[in-house]
Amino acid sequence: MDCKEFRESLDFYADGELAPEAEAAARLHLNECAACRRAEAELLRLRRALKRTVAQHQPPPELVRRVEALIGAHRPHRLWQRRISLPAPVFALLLVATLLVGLGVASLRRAPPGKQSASVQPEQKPPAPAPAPQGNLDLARFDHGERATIYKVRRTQAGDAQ
Amino acid sequence: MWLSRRRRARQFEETALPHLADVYRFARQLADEEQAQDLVQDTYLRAWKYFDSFQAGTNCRAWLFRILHNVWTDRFRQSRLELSLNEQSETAIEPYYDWEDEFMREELSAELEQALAQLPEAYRWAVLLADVEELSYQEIAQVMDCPIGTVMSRINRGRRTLARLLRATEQSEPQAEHKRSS
Ligand SMILES: [Zn+2]
Repeated sequence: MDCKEFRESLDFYADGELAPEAEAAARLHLNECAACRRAEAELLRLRRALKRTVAQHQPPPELVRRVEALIGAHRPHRLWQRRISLPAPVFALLLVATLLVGLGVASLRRAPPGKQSASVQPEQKPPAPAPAPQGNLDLARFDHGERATIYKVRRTQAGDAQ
Repeated sequence: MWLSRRRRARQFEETALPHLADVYRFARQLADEEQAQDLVQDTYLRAWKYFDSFQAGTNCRAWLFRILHNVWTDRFRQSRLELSLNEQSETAIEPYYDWEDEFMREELSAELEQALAQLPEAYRWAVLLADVEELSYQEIAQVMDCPIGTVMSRINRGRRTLARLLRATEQSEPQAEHKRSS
């Protein structure tokens, strides 16, 4: 392939439209000829510049919206459908979890009436020290500084009384 | 019916809508902003209407550009007629470019856009479809509804004419500057 032949097929070469044998011949000529390499480089530069030039325009957002609405007009509840259809497994899991939590709460609420107060007020909490019947208290011990003992006794007695 | 319509819409959304920016940018090289928006909207309206005729797995961009070409032809039929007339005299491949060494500076988007605007529309279509959209000659022939030989000569002539226009723009730089600012 000589320069004239190469230049005649330069566009097709650059566009990848040459048959394999012709492309191989063109590549061979390019390896040998600096002038044709420059010609090819210029063509590729023109291509890059064209891409850059065309790429500087952006479609206005309202155009994008208008075109989307055009399709949306034929398809009601577009957003709703989309949100359901995309995360279906996640949605199902959330639904099941919500149901389980709901059932749990409901079963607690429906517990036997006797235990109801117990579940609301923890048993560990000591009842507020109520004034015990005077007669059950050994005031002498209290005088000797045995506060704890007195209190314990009073608690046991209160428990027995119930 | 509701389901199939819904699926159709989703397919359209996945295959056709992502090319909207490309179609708009291309249209912008054919018309001003307002007209380009109309071209794109009409193109997508038609694409949506005839979406069933699109064969899944084929090049959706090429299909959209074909519709754009139809829409554009319908709208600008007059300038198309003018063009086909002066094209008849140009069919042979022109082997040499007008450039010797670097005919282009790196940053010349403004000059290039100006040169593109002066390029005959059939050449502009062919060159942009090949260089920017990177469609095959076969696809370009389908988009422009013409034989492959015509595509080849349009690309070849188009690039050379563009190079010539660019050189002319660069040589009359001050004038071009004035033109742009006014
Ligand atoms: Zn050579």
